[in-house]
Order: sequence, then C-alpha cells, then structure tokens
Amino acid sequence: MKKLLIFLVALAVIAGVLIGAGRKEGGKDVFEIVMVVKLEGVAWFDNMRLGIQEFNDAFDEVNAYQIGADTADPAAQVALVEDLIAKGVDAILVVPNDPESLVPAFKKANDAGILTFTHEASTQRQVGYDVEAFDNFAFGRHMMDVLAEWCGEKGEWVPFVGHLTSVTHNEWVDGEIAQAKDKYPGLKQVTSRIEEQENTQIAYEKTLELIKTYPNLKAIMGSAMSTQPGAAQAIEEKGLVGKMASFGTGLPSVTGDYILSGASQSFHFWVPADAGYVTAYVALQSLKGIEVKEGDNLGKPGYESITIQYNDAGIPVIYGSAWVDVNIDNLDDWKNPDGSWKL
Amino acid sequence: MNTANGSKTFFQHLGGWIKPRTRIMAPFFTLIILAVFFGVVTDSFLTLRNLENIAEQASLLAILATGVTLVLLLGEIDLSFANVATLIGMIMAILADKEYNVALVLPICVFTALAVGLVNGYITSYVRVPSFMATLAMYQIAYGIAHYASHAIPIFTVPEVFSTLGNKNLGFIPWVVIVAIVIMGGTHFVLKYTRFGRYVYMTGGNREAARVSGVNTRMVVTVVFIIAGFTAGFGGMIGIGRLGVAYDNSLNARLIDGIAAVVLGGTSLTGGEGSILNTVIGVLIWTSLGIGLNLMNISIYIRDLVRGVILLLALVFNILVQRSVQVED
Repeated sequence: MKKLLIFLVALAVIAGVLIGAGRKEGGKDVFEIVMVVKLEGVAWFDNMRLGIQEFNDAFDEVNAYQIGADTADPAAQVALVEDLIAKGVDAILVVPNDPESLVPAFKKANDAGILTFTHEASTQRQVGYDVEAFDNFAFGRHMMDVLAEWCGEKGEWVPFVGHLTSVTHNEWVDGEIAQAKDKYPGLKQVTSRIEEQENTQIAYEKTLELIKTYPNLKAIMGSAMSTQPGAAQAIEEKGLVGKMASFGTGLPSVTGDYILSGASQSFHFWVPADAGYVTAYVALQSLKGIEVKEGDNLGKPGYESITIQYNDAGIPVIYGSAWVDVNIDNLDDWKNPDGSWKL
Repeated sequence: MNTANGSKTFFQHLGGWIKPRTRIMAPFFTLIILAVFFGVVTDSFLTLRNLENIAEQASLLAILATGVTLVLLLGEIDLSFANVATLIGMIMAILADKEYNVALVLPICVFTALAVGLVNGYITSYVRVPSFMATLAMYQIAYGIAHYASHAIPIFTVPEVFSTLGNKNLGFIPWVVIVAIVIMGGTHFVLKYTRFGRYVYMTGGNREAARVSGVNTRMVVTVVFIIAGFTAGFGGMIGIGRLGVAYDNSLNARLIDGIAAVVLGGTSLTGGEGSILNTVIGVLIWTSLGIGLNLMNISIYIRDLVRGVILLLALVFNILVQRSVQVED
C-alpha cells in the first residue's frame, strides 16, 4: 500500500508538470488551420513546418500548426484527420499518403463544416482546392531545358523513373521528351525510360550498364530522388565527370555532394515551406469566403501568378511554377551555418 | 473503525467490493486518470464529438484485440493477427476489384481467415511449435501473400457494405462500434457462460491440470486460434473498408496496438487471467492515449517518449494495485 501511495504521489507530480507544459497560451483562436503531413521527423516536412509557422506568425486571425504520424501510414493519417474533426478545427490541410483513403474522413469533415485542402494530390476528391507547386508537364520541359543547355543541345540522354507505374514521374518524362522533340532536335533519347525502383543501388547499376552499352551517353535524367546519387556515383567511378552528368530532381542533402564533384550538374525540387504556406493561405482565403482565382498572387516565390485547372472530380487544382534550380552557383544558399544542408 | 453496532463503514464496503475486482478496477482507474488529465490539458478531449471519435477509432482495434485476448488467456501469443487482417482485407479488395459479388467475397474471406487461424492453432497445439514462432512465421506468410498478390500496388475497390461498416453511422452510432459490441459481446458471453469458456480459462491457468481433468486442451487452443483468425480477418475487412483502399501493409502497424491494449486492460500475458471487459478498457486506454497526445499537439519528437512513459506507468500501476491488495489479504 505504501508503494502504491508513493507511486500515486509521483504520478500527481508528473501530471502537474505535464499539465503546466501542455497548456497552450490562449487568445489567438479565430481560424484554426492544421496541416497534416505524410510523416513527421524528416527534413522535407520539418521544412514545411517552417512555412506553416511563418504563416501562423504572419496573420493575427490565424492559429496554424502542423501535425503528422511517425510513419507514412494512410490509416494513421485518416485517424489524425478524425481527431481534428473531433477537435473542431476550421480547416484541415493534408499532404496525403493516399488520396483515396482520405475521402470518407474529408466528407465527415465537410459535413461538420470544416474545410479541407490538399497539397501534392491533383486527383483528390472532397476538397476545396488542391495546391500543386507546378504543372508536372511544364516541370519536365524545364528540366530538359537545363539538360540541353549543358550539353550544347546535342548528345545522347536517358530518362529514369522510379516505377513505370508512377504517375508523376512519367508526367515529368513526358514533358522532357516533348520539350526535346519540340526544341532540341540534336538530342537523342537512346532507350525508353529506365525503372530504378526508387533505389539508389539500382540506379547505380543501370547507369553502369548504360555507359557500357552507349559509350557516347551525355546525360541521365532522374525522376526519383534516388536516381541522381546512383547515376552520379557511377559517373565518378568511371572517370566521366565533365563528359557526362546527371540531371533531374534532387535535394541538397541527397545530391549536393555530387554537384560539388561535377557528376551532377543541377537538381530541382520545390520548397516544402512555401508549399505549406501557400496551401494554408488558400485555406484562409476560403474561410474568409474569398475565392482564389487564376492569376492570383499567393505570396510566395513561384506562386505569384497561379493557374487553375479542374481535375476529373471537378476540384480546382492550383498550379504555381515554383520549381527551384540548384547548381554549383547557388548550392551554398542551401547550407546551414554549421555546414549541414537545410533540406 | 468499528461503529457501535459493529457494521462496516462505507469505505470498508467499497474496499470489499473492489478487492476481488482489482484486475479490472486498476485499468479502469488508469482510464479515468487519463481522461481527467486530457480533459484538463485540452479543450476538446471530453467533448461528445471526441468521445464518439474515440469510440470509433477504438472499435476497429477492439475487434482485432478480441482474438488477441483469447489467445493471451491461453498463455499463447499471436504475432500474426495484424498482417492477417491486412491480408484478408487485401483479398476482399482484390475480389471486389474483379467485380465478384459480395455474397461470394464475404464467405471466401471469412473461410480464408478461419483457415489461417486453423493453421496457427494446429501448428501450435498439435505440432507443438511455440505460438511465438508459429505466428511469427504466419506474420511473414500473410505479408508475403499480400505483397505478392498486390505487387505493392494499392487496390482501390472495396465492397460497399464494408465501406459502410467502416465509415457510416446507424443513427448517431458508428456501424463499426456496433460491430465491435456484437463481436465482443458474443465472445464475452462464450467466455463467461459456456463450457468452452471455462475450458479456455482452465487451459490457460494450468494446462496440465486441465488436460488431466478431461479437457481436450489441444482442441481448445486450435479453436481459439480459429476464432482469432476470424476476428483478425473480419477486423481487416472493416479496416480496409474504412480506408477504401488496400495496401499490402495497411493494418500491419496494429500489431503493437493490439497487444498493448490487451495487456494494458489487465489480461495476463501468462494466461488464465483476464476478460473481454479488460480488453474493452485496455482498448479505450490505448486509443485515448493516442488521441489525447494528438490533441495536446506535443512535438512529434517527444511524443513516442511520452507515450512509452505513460504506457510503462500504467503497467506499473496495474501491478502495484493488484499486489497491494494481495499483500493485505
């Protein structure tokens, strides 16, 4: 019995401390806008939190914050959305792990008078708007421009995709091929799209095979984050830096070192913080009853003049042109003072 | 303490009522403490809407945990139930995608779930592979089949009826809550009022003694695993129905949730002690904990730590309460 009493007293103390810590400062609670990300604890969504935080600080009438599960699990994400419905927030923003599984929860939210929005889910149903950093086809065309410029608009290149079933990757490659066809007759795509299964090791091995088969190969164009590190590694090992290079999507932390070695000449991404900010801004406008229209400026670079297209479900999808190009000239912008990468 | 006529005080009465029920009262107090705590630190935990949310989220876990409870009552363990749930849900989605009628899909899925349970039970009780290893193998096999059958591509078709059971309400009560009550109620009845139920407790309490007194313990173990296969499979069908899409790993993370909930409820890992009521409370504790921490909006970087510490505290509390009562006796 004594042990139990001691335990209970200790428990009360812990509870008291937690209550003190858990109490949030009251006051600001006009519009509660919550971003639910795919998963927490990774650099991409840590960066997005900065954007949500900035948005929260920028508008007095807003209480905005970000949550997420610790695994990229569709079921966990649905549960988080349901918790927010129970909490009675004003708007729920989601970067879906799986757009389809969110539809019933979104419907429940809408029935409860809560507005719903998504980012990175252009096929989403049951939302006010979906926000995309850019049109995938246009992004592909842009990446091809960068590749073509480096190799003097002529030479052999190969596109990689993560999976042949990956919609986004294939849309990018469609854009790249269209741009090459329209503007760069000197470029030659030597083989159809290579699948690297989102695996750096496979990207590396496939690149070695390609170098053997096509000795004049100038460029690898990656779609998955994993392509450039694998391809660039192969280029370095074969001593082809300067003669051949990798291009495509990437992040400073993943591809930065290969920019320094020259095996990668550029990489592209969009800034999660800005995407989060803009999605929250669209939610705020909707909560105020202001319609977001084609050509609007949503307050972040690349979203100064948005376009809107309607998806198959009739949902307006907002497109920016918010890609970021990183090469040897601006790589240092993405470094923290302590030498680590920002993203 | 004695009053003039020698009758007991109110507290002695209360103590006398609680003592034989400590296995259920300790987790119940934990639940109350958590509810009060979250009620104080958040504005929305003790709202009607959130209580419905807790009930709804707890119900799916409760269906899965029903089978786990029975298995733990035997002193066995089932590591496969979450992956089996995913597998059966996946089979349901694949068949629905091929436009099979639900009148055919349902029996196929239920039969497969029962068959999986039979294999678990048979291997454990007759072949005498420890259930830890037998169900660990089934854990791999269930995932392996789901992975192979889907090639890791999600399947977006589920039968309407399971989408309804997972998402819709009957009046203001979510269907999934009703299903959980029916399944748990039925299991509670069997455990409490049938001969088979008594055999389960006897087998779990002391297998040798049960066998000597004429209980076919192997059969009991096998049947319990078959029931666990059913609750896993049916829970999986509702879980996938709720999501509207089947991945090869949709519900696999429920493994830890299910076992944690049952043990938090006070059911013993070594068998013979516990009940479905314990699991009801355990499931509510575990779900409340998850939702409460979400509503508190504490940083993801310390949430796991907090959840782990609270889990540990709750388990210690359970044990201390039970032990303090035993010592006084």
